[in-house]
Amino acid sequence: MSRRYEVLFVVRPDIGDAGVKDEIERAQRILEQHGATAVQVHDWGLRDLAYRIETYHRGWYVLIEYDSTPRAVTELERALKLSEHVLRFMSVRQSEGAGPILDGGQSITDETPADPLAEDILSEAEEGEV
Amino acid sequence: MAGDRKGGGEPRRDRGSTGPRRRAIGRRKVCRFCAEKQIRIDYKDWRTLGHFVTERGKIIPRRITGACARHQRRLTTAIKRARVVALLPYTTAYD
Repeated sequence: MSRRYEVLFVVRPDIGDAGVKDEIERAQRILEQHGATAVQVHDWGLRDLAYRIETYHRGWYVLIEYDSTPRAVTELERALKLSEHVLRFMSVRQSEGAGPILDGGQSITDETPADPLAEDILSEAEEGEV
Repeated sequence: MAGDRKGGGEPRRDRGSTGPRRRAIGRRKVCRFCAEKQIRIDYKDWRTLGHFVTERGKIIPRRITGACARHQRRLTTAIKRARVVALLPYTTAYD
């Protein structure tokens, strides 16, 4: 049964734009070989890591969404695990009707604040936590 | 008879209220993820998740966030996922 998955992975920053591009293409190739469809790549670009990984304080974040069987997920994970350029990765199955979730990632890329309503609720939250 | 008993009970109840106040805690919290249905809890949304961890990176408990069981559980999962991919810290006390 085909399901919608997403994988977020962090690439070493010192391999350059071309290196990152290679990694993305490699991932796409693996997915397509294993019958993944509706592959969408979101390039978040270089971001600060919340903690140091190996010797890196920054990493290149890439999010890929796709429809596939679990087979493609394991294959992709195996490839990411073996790649020396990938610092971290995480595959997640998207829950049903979870379309708009992605905008969370999108807004992170654009460095735009979340919608004003959400900000409101959050400031309220902070008051409550004091 | 019944009326008498009632009359006798009332002063006792009053005395009780002058003792330690148990119910003066303030408003009851409503889970804000239940209140705002369009808000999704997502591990990629580290900005939002950041509000639910302390400055040391610990997950804030439900009794303080006011989230219901289901949403607190989702928050916890999302925060833990975000930590794996270095979107959120496990702790700040290192380096």
